[in-house]
Amino acid sequence: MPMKMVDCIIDDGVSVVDSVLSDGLGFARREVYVVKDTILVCNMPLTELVRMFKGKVDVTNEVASTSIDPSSRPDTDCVELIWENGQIMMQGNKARKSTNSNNFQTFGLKSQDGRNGTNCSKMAKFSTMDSVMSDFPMSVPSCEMGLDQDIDLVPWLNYPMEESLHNDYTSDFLNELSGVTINDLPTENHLAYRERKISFHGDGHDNSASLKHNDTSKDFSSNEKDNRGGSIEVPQFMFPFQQSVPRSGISDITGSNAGNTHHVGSRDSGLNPSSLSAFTSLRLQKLDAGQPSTTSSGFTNFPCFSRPAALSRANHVSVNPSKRLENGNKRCTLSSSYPANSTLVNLDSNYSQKELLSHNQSIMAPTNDKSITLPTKPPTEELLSANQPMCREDTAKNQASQNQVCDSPMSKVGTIGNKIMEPVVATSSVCSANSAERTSNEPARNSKRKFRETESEDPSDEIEEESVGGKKPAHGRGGSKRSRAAEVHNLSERRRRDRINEKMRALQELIPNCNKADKASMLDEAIEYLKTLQLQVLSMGAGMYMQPMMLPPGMSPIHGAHVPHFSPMGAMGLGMGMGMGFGMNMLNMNNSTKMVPFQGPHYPIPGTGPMFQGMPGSNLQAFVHPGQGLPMSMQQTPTVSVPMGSLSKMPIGLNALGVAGSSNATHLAPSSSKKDANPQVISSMDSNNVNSSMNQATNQVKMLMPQKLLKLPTETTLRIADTPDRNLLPACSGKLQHVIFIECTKVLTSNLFLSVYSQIRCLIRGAPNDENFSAVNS
Amino acid sequence: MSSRRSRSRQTGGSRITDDQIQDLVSKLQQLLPELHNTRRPDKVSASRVLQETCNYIKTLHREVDGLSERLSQLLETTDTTQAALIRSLLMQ
Repeated sequence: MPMKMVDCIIDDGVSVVDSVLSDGLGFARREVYVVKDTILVCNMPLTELVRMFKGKVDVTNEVASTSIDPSSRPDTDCVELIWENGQIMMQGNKARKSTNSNNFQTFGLKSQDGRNGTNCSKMAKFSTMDSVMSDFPMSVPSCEMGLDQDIDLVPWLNYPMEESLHNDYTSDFLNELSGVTINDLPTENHLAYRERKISFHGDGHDNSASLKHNDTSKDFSSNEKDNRGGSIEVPQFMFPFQQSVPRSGISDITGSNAGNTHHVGSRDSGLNPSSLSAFTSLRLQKLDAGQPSTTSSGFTNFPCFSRPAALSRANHVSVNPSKRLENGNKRCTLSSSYPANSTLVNLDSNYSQKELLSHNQSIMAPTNDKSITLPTKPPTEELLSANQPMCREDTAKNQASQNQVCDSPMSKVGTIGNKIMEPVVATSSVCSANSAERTSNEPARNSKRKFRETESEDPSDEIEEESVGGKKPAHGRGGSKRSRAAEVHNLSERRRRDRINEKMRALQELIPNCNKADKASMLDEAIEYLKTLQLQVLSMGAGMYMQPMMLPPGMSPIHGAHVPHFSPMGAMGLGMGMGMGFGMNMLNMNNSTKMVPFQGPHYPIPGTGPMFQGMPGSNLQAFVHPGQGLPMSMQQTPTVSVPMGSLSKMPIGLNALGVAGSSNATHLAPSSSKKDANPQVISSMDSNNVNSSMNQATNQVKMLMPQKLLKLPTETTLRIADTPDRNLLPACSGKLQHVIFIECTKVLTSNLFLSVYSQIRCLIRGAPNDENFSAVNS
Repeated sequence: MSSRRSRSRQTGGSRITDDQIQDLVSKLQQLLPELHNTRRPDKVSASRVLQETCNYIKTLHREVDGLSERLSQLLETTDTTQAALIRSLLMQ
């Protein structure tokens, strides 16, 4: 049996009950929203509720006594929706409004004077509620989402393992990369990721990410898998890899400068073992493996554009060795290199050239681009053979420009990237045609390369542009204008995404224990955490204000001056309205930091007296100390912010309430036997600690809130636990934690809940047995 | 637009993610006092929302710290039986 926890927030008779139904899996939420005077209890699956709401909730009034026509809803001061037996019951309390509404209203958000105003606000609340509600269903899909992603990733993850040929490929590839990337990968992953503001991974982010996964899993299957840890860390993965590339490139350069032999040596060693056979196997594998992955992932879209870049790069590389880095002569050399590339056999030659390439690098102090080229080369080489001269020329241009840049700092590379863009684009159109004809696996691969390249290149915007430009032509082979527009759009989009991702990471760091990789769950967590924090703040604030209430009546000096802003009730009501589920005007919350100096007991205990004793008869006014003239001051004070703080105090409020009640009502004979009477109460809480504390708390609560006082149905137990679940209050660790959860065993789905709830409210509010509630109760 | 097209071609899962993220962000926005009263709430950019969220969380953290300190002080100084009771409840 799933455990139900109800988090009760009680303020000036306005209570917010937030019930969490935690069944081992996750948490389904059932919530009671209380805004000032409007109480909405959704004791049903949220999705249901939302549906109802959206569908103009036809509120069928099941309870005759309490039922109100939907139309009259606005008039009711207190509206409760309860999910019962598949029906929504809406209960309103008109009587209360007539009596209390004024009082409460004064504390209201914008001090509604008349009923009209109240009605309006009420409606507004409902609408907000609606919006809030609508959010919940989202979370569900998000979960599904995550699953989907996982599933998608699975093939890639497993991919390397499954391929028998793959080993060759991997080793081969690794060898090539080893000099550049692999060494750096494990250690530098996160550092790189942190240190650099990653501006790439924009539009094609998802695609590239997934591709990258595929790619990386192949290359560094072992490493990546460890890192992955089951969660999909798309962005992070991309980064480490990309970053590591440029870095290693740099390191290579430096290393090569110091001692060229080292680099070459490693390369040689890597290449030698993986001879032709390896390469051929590579090819085969591509055909085999490439197919499934690409098709399943549906990433064929990128093939075209990615290709030109890859090609150019590859060419560039291959040319370089023979060229010996004569910048001006590139063209010639390129043309000469054509024949070599055109045949498959040449792949080998390319390889050998690669060895030289490392040489080149060491000699010419390569820029990032250069270093990047290396990894891309092997796969692209295959494709290269078929490439046409036009591409080459472009490539040559690119190369030339790049070479020029070679010695220049990275920033310059960025600018040059723009120049290069044009040729690339041109090339792409040509190449895309070619690439289109190729096997489906190629595209995927190319796109991977492409991404890696672009990303590994200088992250500056200009370069992004280049990459984007490359993409565009691929898509709209036809019009350049269109591609331009798309390009611009793409660029801006990318930037936007970058910003968002950046913030997302910042956010992630702020959320404790947030290991979520995908954005959706991250945001989910953020939302929950935010709510929790708000609640916490409020509860603590409430604790501060509640305390005075505890003091014996005689002792409470009231400093009207300071107290103004809140009667606890007002404060709470306010707070609730704003902060709680609705997240309405939480504006002030921020300001609440500057809490009004709390000086001693502001609170007149006299008020408490009536409150606790009784239920019947006593009403809010009684509770609010008449002498204080609080309401008025309240209105005046702009410092509503303070009261807000107290909003979350509800738990504490309850606590305090209980305590106070005990003090007052101890003699009422707290029913200690109550616990025994309720076997069901046994909590199914996960953590034992919680349990114990809960039990303790429960006892106390029982003592404090004797059955008599609350008129609790026998089968109901209010259980107050002090931070029952740490997960719910992640930030609390080591600090005061006063959010108290009341567990209602059977309450939620039945009238019991309502009765308990109403009683608590009555207790606090001093408006005891409302006709409505009493009706329900009976 | 090509970007859209390319995105639509992604797996269904990631597309849902986009929508979802938007919704989540909007939900997040509702929790933010700073942004809640913006004139055109739908115009607030996601990055802004996230930024504000970060700020807000920080603020809340500070607040919690301050409050907990105060509360503990308060509880320390208060010496009534009620306070003791509260303490026992709060500080378990």
